[in-house]
Amino acid sequence: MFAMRPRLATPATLTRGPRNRCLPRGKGAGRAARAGALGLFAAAPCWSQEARPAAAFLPADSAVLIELAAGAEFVAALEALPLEPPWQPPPAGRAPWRRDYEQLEGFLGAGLPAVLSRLADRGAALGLVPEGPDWQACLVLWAADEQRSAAELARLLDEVARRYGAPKLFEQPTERRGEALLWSLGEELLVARVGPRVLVSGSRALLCEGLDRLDQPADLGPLARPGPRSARALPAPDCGVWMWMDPTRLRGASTEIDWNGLDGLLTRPEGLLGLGAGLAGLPRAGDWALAAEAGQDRLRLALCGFGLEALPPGLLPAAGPRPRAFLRHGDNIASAVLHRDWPTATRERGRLFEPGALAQFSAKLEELQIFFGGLRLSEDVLARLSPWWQVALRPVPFPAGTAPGLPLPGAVLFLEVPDDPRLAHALEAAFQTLISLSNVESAQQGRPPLRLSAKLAGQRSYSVATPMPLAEGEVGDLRYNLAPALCLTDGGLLLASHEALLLDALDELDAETAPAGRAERLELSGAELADWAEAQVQGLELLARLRGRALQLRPWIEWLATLALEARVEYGPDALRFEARLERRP
Amino acid sequence: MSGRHTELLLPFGSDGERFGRAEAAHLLRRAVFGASPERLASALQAGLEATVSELVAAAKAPPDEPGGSGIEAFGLLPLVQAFLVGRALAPDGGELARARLAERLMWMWHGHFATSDHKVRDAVLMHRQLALLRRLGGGDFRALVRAMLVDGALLIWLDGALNTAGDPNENLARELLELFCLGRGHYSETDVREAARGLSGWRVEGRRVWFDPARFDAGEKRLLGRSGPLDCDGVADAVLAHPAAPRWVARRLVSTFVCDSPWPELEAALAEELRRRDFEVLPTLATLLRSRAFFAPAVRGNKIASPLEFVARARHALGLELAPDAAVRLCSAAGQAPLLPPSVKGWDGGAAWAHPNAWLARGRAALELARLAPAPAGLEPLEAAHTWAENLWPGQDRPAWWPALEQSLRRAAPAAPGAFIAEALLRAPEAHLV
Repeated sequence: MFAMRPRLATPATLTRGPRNRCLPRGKGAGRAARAGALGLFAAAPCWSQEARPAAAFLPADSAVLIELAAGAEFVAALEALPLEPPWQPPPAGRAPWRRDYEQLEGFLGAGLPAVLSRLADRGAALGLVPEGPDWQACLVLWAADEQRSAAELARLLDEVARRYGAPKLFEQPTERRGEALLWSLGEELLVARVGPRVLVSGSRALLCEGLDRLDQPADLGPLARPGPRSARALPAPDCGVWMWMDPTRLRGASTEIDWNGLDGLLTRPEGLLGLGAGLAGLPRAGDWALAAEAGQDRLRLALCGFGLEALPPGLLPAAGPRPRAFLRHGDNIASAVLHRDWPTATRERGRLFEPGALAQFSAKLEELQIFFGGLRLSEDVLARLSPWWQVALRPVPFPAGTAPGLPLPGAVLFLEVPDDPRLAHALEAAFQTLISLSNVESAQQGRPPLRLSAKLAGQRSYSVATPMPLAEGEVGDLRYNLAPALCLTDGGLLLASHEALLLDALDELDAETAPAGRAERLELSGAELADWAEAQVQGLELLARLRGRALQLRPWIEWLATLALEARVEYGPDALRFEARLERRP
Repeated sequence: MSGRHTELLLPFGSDGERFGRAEAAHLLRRAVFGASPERLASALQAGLEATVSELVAAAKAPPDEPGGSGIEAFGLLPLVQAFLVGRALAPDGGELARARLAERLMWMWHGHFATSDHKVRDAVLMHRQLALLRRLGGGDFRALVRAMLVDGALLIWLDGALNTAGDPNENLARELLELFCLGRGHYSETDVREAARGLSGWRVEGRRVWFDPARFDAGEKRLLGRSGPLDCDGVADAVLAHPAAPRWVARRLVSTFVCDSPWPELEAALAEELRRRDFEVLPTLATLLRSRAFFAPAVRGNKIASPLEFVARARHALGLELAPDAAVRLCSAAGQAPLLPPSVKGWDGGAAWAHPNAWLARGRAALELARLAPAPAGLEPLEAAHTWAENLWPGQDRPAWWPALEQSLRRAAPAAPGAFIAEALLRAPEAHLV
């Protein structure tokens, strides 16, 4: 989690303290307070009137706000981060954003960090205001040293003038407005400088709004609104950048985005049960906030949605049992703890899903019913499963004689189920029926079947389906990656794509397992993934070549080997925080 | 052989004919799916004799693709199809491209011993059959037939694996006589039955092919004038000793490399050459590729290109970056799905390639290929059109519709000139003739 800003007020002082005249009470203030009380998010900040942040001079009506708190440092840290994939062949194959960035630096006539350190070492902010189908932007740059800022602006204006073919064209301002000096760069852009602040906009009205606010020390512009205030409370000290968006305004302005489709994630089973209730409900949040922090060898992103009143409360992991910490094996390529509340989703599907999706969902349940003869799938099976799904992706120690030519990582799923022999029997029977049906299909297609058997591992029995042994000298095709196995034991269901993984997981189950937290979690180990890819590099390169991607995988594998990704989703009553941390581990 | 027959196989140039750009392009189009401008220039410089020798030498030992052995680990038909087509698309300059004549022959034999995964349902067995065709396709045809008769995919496709002494199945024997070696009219129903008895006993379990003596009919057989306890090799030898066999193979070579319509005189001459070369395919083909008949004006640019020939030629001539799996999709839509021939007779070819549905698919393929065309760097649209037309039809006069294209380009420069010009060229009828 990002640390709290040291100069932030507590939620209580936000609504009481004299310095917080800027933060009006109301629905938004209550929302911020709730968010703070959750402990998910830091409390909203307050500022002295003299040191209003750059974003305070942006249009009050902005629909998108971006602020770089320590712009030069953030950009420099981003530049230094070795997180860019090894695009090939350089330089034509480099990331598009990198080319744009280099073009920008070429235009500025200096490196972006250097320009920011001279013009915006106290902060920079950008506000976007939708105007019909177009957007108007306003940029505010705030320097610590007024003279240095003036010199840098003069240099930049001279760069532009020379590009126009008219050196010294902008040596003198075009006009004055109070203390502000203004330059008109054609009809497209206005630049104003007042003391250590530089404002840039294509709209005179927006620029003047910012300039007028200079004389009204109590006016915090967009930061007086509860959404941006909560967003600004999100980052850590020295956080590089934060961003706030008003989804309602974006809906009106961005016609390219399928907003209905995004909203529908919450009312369709694939969205609700695939992404989880929180992420599926994120498009419906009242405010979106994003913060990014770039440090040595790491990049952290936090995405928050506030005002998630639309979320069905029963589907969030706020209460109820916590999952057992399990499948945390060191060899995991990836692992996840996901909250997918099938019991609630099936029980309340009539209320949760839109009519079309509901019909399809119900039809699928009917189809699956065939595997659970005698039991009602919704009431007797799904309703009794734990909402916590633990999944791990691991390399498989394939036994000789049935090893595939291209070994894929296998998957293990752990799900807590009540100790009920009837349910266990039904789940085992469903697994065996599924294998039998797949064997019928294999037989119809002339393919070898999977042999279904029951085995013992210590005192535990499990079902397993194994492929036909390979003849000597034969290479197993992709199907040999699958020897699915199921075991119901110790109040849990273990399903693995390969018997060897199931046996490993059973050993882990014997070890002590403490309850885990209530956050959803996803971890990916670049080193483990790289180990697997390295062993299969020839096959993977062939696959890429046949699909027209002439990849040299080795540089990618080396790059991947140093990366680790961790993502978490945490929930509050009406707020959600998704945090991703990408680290480079030398 | 009559004097007229012999004349057809006389080397091109023996009467003063010149091996120019058009002739070099014709050779490379028919033999190796077309060529890049650079490859064409080097063939022109080397001359006919050396170029054919180089093509034949490279086809004798086609190289393995790096990592190619890994294809079996996937066991997926789309990947085997892409692998197969990818070799025909191998860019000029590399080792794989030098051996494209072996690929051309492999495709010919794939149509001759047409086996479909629809019934085999095992991409690995299909891949192994194609590897066998590639390895043996340029050598002794008799060895190829013997090997094919015990190929796992063919045994499944033609029910050879079900053929036992007690319950004979004649499918494989019938196609051996009718489609693979002799053609109709050169055998009797008795020969079919006798050949089936000799081919009995082979089994396919999984991917393992093995001979089960208990299922073999070891009795005396009489086949096409030979008798004895013929087994698989014995049947192949008896069939290939028939005088019609060389003619049947020669017909396949002529229809693949020279013209769609029958040319009995050339077939007879080539059959004689094949017999003289002891059934060695590549030396016989070399004679054909150097012959006057091969370069006869009436056959040049007068053969309907198979979808693969169309796509591969566009790729080589225009330098398109075409992914193998995309090429498979285009070819399949136009009626040539690799590893899935429509029947035991293979693809009909010729006019069948221009079936209305296939023709519509070719139009869509032209559009898709044109989108891959690179921007004509440093060239005006009109210059680019001339350059690319010369790459597609080297040394030939511009087609009758050329002024219309020129006029269109002069009137208004298209937004994406590369794609516009390429589409115009690839939609033209001439782009679908080889």
